Amino acid sequence: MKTIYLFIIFLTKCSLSITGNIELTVCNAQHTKMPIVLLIPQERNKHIDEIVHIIKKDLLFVDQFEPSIATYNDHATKKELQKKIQKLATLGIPLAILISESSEFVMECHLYDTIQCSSLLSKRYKKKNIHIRNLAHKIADEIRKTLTQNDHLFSSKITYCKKDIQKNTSKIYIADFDGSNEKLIVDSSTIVIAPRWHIKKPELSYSQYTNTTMQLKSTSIEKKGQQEKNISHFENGINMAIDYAPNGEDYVFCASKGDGCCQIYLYQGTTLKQCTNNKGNNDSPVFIDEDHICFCSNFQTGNPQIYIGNIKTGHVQRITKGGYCTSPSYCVKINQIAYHMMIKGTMQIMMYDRTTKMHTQLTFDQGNKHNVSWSPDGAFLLYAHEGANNSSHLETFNLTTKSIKPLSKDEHYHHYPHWSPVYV
Amino acid sequence: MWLLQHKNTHKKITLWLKIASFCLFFHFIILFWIFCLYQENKFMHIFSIDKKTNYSSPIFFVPVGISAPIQTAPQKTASITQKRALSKDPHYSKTTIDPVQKDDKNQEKKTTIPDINKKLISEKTDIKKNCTKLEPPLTNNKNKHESTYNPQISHNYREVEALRRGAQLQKELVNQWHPPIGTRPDCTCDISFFVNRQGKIENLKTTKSSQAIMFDISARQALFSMKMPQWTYGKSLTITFKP
Repeated sequence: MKTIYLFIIFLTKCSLSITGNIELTVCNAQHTKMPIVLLIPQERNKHIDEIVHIIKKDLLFVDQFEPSIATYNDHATKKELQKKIQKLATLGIPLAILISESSEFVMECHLYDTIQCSSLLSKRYKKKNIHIRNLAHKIADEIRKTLTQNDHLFSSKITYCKKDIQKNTSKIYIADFDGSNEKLIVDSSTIVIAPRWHIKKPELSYSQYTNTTMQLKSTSIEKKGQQEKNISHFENGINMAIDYAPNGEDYVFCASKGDGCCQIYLYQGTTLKQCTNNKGNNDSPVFIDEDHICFCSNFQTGNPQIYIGNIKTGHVQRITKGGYCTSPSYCVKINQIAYHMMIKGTMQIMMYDRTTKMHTQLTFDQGNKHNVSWSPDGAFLLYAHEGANNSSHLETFNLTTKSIKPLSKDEHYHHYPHWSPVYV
Repeated sequence: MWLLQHKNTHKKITLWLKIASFCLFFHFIILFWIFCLYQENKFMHIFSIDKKTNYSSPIFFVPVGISAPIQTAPQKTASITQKRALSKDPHYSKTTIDPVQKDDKNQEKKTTIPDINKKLISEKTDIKKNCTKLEPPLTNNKNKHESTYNPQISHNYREVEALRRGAQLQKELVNQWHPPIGTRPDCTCDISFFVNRQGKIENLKTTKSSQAIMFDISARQALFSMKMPQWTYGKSLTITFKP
């Protein structure tokens, strides 16, 4: 009898424990910024302060995070630190970055998930032979890549021309991705325009006016004292708008040879080939891949249009249908081409998706926009925005949030911006 | 002999008591199973709630025994909600059908009708007077009380109740969950967990990650910050998060 009773009791328990599995799908929620805390030791030096503030500024730039800074006791044990991190979870902060200095030359960075109190990223960085600012950008890049899978952005640089209208000269500057830490690179007594970054090494190519021609030149950013090199292939006419192939060796540029019409030339290996041969002006060539080039030309309609040309077959395909379209820029990450189009008398930024063949207008405000350039992660666009009183300033457009941020702070005429890749 | 009989009666009584208690216990289990635990699909409840479905609209039952096609059901709901809406609408006013104005010609025609038919006509007109004519819906009315067509018609009240609970839970989750800005539209993550008898979440696991840690973390944070409804106690759930 006892065994029977026990068996029955066991059966009832089993029946009660069969609860059932429920599946739900949740969607259509409102997007917000992710709160994140930067934990630094109470007793710290200037380096950590500077690094933390740069990381905070970088994370704020991308509009995805809500960073804040908090301190912890240096002499706290691991358990106490763990409790502090878990306490952040109850306050609604799911992420914490712990930054400390393990030695004079080594910095440690740990990224924690406060809910589960687990480490998402733990890295050590050597402070030797690296500027503190660059180290901070590197740390911010790693954190962003771990959390969002976006490529590096904060370690990149921008270059642009600043025109002095009174003296009719211009200079080339470089700055951090957000326009801070401006540095003069080319100080010329003549006009210099269209600086372009090399795809593999930190080198700038630009065009410089002479008395009768425009010559292509290049200079290194890192090697101080190195003189600029003349890389023009033609002595006469215009040589400008160079763009490097993915292999870093081949490049395309436009040149007029004194004829009055700009054609596109490809330098491949050791040979120079002419890609276009028409009576229009062809300029702003950019590589899409090893075989395709995107450029702007007015040979067909009289107004500039955007074309994609196949180097191997010679086939040319027009992607814009009318209007006044210029300055194409291609992003490999998302397979999109950004260009400018005149809409109701104002040059606006447009985007062409090569996959869906759709055109999208991105900007709608007043003021002409020029020389759009992609960020290395494909999430931002950099361009020059003309304002009132013959001024032009630099702006970035965030493709995720559709927000615009000004970069240049002074009232000079900024133009020809270009965003660099992240050099390893 | 008498002593033996006493011993035997005691044993008999205990035996009968044991049998009775055994039977009672068994009956109790069966009755408990029937009324409290038995469901048609006792192992799995699966919801795939589409965001286009309006959960605030009422779910109408088709009475048992009447095999009404699905097409007629929305007409009924539309008419019912329309009536209610119109009654609340300030522009709505009850109108009565006035009897047809008697022209001379009509009068002449009607005089020829026999008495019996006159009675019928008068009855009909009386009926018409009593009826209220529904005005056609105003097209420019801002407060449109449009009924939303919910295609899910169920004969089983348990299923409907489960659907309501699922919709309620989904609504609360949507309020609590804030996916991070910048996530790809094709990001999804599946999280499974168990809700204990006290309503706390245990054994939380990310069964399918979205490859963006921030997205998974935001989903987990939403679950921990939420107070689970009582009907989820003692149950395991799997939730798919989509931005």
